[in-house]
Amino acid sequence: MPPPKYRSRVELLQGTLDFIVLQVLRAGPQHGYGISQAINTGSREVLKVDTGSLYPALHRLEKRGWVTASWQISENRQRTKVYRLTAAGRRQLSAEQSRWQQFVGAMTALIGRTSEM
Amino acid sequence: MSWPNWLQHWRSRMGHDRDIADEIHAHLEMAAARYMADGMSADEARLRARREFGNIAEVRQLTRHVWRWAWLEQLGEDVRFGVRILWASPSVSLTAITLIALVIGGNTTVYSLARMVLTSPAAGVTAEQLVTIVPTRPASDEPFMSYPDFRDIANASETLDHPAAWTTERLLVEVNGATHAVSGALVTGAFFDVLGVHPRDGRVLTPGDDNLSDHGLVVVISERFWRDYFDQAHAAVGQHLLINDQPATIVGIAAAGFRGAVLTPGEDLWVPLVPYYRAIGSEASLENRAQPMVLTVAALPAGRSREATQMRIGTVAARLAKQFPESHADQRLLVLPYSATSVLPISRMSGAFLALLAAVMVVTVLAVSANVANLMLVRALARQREVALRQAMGATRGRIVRLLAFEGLTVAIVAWILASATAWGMARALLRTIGPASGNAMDGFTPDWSLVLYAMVLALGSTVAFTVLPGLQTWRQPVLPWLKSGEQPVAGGRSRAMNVLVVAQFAFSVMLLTSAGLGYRSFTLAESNDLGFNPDGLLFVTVRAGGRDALVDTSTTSAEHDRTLARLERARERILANGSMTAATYVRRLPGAYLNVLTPVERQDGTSSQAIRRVVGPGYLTTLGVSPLLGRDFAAADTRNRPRVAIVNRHLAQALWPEASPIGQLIRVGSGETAEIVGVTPNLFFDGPSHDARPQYVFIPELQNEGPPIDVTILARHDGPARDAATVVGGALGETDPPLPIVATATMADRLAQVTQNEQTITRLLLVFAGLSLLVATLGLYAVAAFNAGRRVREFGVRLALGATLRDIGRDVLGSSVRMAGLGVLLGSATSAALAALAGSRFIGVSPVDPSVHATVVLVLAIVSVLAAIGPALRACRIDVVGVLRQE
Repeated sequence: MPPPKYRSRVELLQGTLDFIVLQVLRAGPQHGYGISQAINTGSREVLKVDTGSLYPALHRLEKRGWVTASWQISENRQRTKVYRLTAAGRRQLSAEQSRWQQFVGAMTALIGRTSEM
Repeated sequence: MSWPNWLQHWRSRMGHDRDIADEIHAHLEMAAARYMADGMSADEARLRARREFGNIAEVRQLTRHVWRWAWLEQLGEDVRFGVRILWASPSVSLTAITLIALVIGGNTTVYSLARMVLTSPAAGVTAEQLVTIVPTRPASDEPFMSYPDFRDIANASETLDHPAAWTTERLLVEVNGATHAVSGALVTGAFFDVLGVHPRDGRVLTPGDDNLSDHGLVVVISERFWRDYFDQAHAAVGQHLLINDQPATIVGIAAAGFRGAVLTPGEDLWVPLVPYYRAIGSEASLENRAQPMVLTVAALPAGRSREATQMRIGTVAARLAKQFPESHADQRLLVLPYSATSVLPISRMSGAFLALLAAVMVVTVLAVSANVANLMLVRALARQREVALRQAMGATRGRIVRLLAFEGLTVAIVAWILASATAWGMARALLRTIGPASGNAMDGFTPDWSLVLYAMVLALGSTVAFTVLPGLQTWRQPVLPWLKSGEQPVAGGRSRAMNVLVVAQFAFSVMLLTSAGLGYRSFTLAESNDLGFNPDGLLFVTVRAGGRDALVDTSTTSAEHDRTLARLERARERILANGSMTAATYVRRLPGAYLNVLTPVERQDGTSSQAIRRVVGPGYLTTLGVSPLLGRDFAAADTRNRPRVAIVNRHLAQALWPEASPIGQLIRVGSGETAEIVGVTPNLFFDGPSHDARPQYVFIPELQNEGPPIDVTILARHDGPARDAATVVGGALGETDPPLPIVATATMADRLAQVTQNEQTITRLLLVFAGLSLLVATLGLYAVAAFNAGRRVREFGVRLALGATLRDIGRDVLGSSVRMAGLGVLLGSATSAALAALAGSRFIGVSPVDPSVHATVVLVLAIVSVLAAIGPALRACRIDVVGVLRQE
């Protein structure tokens, strides 16, 4: 049985992970582990990203040219791959943001109206 | 640009696998480090990190798939897209593909054929690096050199390997009691060795055979000769023959297919040159430096270039010129690469000819590429909007260009396959068309595949470039206007150049079609046309009238000559004695021959013309069934004791005496004695109707001619079947003393078929090329019509809205095409008429401006131009007027 706080976690919408990853990378370059931790803590532990989704997503973003990756040596002399937002990624992010805000607005309005009924 | 993305990804796929593993490893290490910082033991921390991470292998695979499917999927998508485009507008694709396939296939075939004819060695020749040495003199294009000259060249040390010489001869060969006239060659011993011709059976000739042995001549026969004259179950080697009355022993059969070193005439036996002349007692003629006699072939010494050899041969020529200034002063010796046609005059121009063909090929391929580009532009026009839409939907520009490139590639690849099939098919078809005329030399003809490849690279490059260029044009274009409005002029300046191209193509087609049409018409006329004489019931029997020395020794006494003439006259009388034979005569040359030499004919006041000189027997005109227009035929009484006489044909009479009657006038034919004209014949077309439009002939009686004849042809007119007549003539010839051996028997009909065959072949080829050219011009016109109609959609829409009818629009599109074709037809007709007027018609009985031929050509082209424009015109009529206007 998972601990109670896990029950409140939500499944990510299709395509949302890309948006979240881009959003995380806006703060600065980050490696895969760092991104997963950032999502975890950034969403107040509500969103837990599955590595089986995270890594394909990172590579998909890299393929699309929204992020670039470079290899760096970490403090404990570990070879790590660090992702960084590109200009295209930044544009994509702002497009996604406005789309997301529209979506959220629409959902809020909808929920508000149904709750009034 | 991202075009080769999938390629890059594919190349680095192995690298990706390692990177992904490293990345996951780093993830696990970092997680473990954090748990350790929280106070866990190293093992515990690692285990926890692993557990949290999940299935490592699955993550690796999923991540890897992001890349793998990327390139595979993209490639698949691109290919699918290219194929879909083909289906999307099939008429455009089909036209483009047909254009490329036909032109490249056709050009390749013709070029390969020409190159093969001009550069391949004769069948059975296996040696390489062969050259032939051809003397050139200002006044002659004979490739023969004298035997002493050949010996000097052969002896010039280290210049050539195994130089060999040969001379072709018609030899009378007695096999098993029957005598046959056979094409043979007298060769030096190195002949087979240098050509690399191996024996099929027995041995070939060697330098050792250059000396006459006690056992008589040796001879190598062709495989064909062996099949025709020997019981194949028994070995021919060791059998005995009589060659021009000389006993000879067969020592070998040459490799299958070998018929001599040059294409014609196709030799069947080879006899050592020096021993043959020694055997017939004419060795002296081998020492005559002024008598052109042999052809040569030799191998270049290893490591020596043809140019270096040419230098050395040049010094030999210079030495000869100094030694024999009278005969050799202006003789040069050329070292030419050997081929089965290299001693023929055409081969001197073969380099230029092939270069010209290659240039024509490049030009046509470019013209076709331009047509294809036009078609692609039509599509790009429609596409530009789609491209803008794609861009708006987020496709990268690189991807759009890549899609366009794939489209061009697909068209080019399909065309490539079709072009190869076309080349192959055309090669077969050509073989069938001209096969009978070419003998077995064409057996191995296949298209030159490296040429197919070269042409396709050219077409591929241009097609892809032409499809990508419009795409690149959209590279920087603002997307928005394209989404709003429908049409904008694309590449506005192009259409004029394209129009010029179409007009030129049509003009070219008209010229080809007109030539083919004139040729064809002259053949249909030939069936019914008056040759000037009656070709039916005319038998030719060629006999060897000269003695066995006649070929090598021309210094026969007049007594011998008289004896020969007496035999001929005797034979003629015997033939005429038979009731079924209505007339008979004899001629030195068969009526109709390929090589008609013109001899000057001079009036006494110095006015002169040229004519074909024919030496004929008494009763010549009677035998041909011709009554003289003026005067009389030759009679048996026109002998050397009587005044010299001559007969001219009407063309020559008109040339020399345009107003007065030529009868009784005196002429000098060549360097002969002055003769009185006793008759004028109608114009006779011995060479068939298509050889020469206005042949001029002068006839001289054999009985007054100097020098003995060698081969004489008896002409006999008969009532019954030719077979019976041949028996009668054969019997009559056997009764002469000694009997006149028969060399060949033929009928006038055979003869005419033979002389016209070449022309027929050329006409057929012309028709094929004219058809091909017409197809290219039509497709080109279609491309331009489609392009222009596509550009004017908006204009048409506005005009329709303003009250124009669909008929107006259709007529407009059709009209502009027909005008363009009309201009081409006009130019082409004018050019071909001008050329014909300048050069004179090659086709007898047909005027170069034959109205029916020109009318047919114009009609065909009018129909074709309407057909080409009808599709675009119909499409223009289906314009969505409301849609067009909304965009305004």
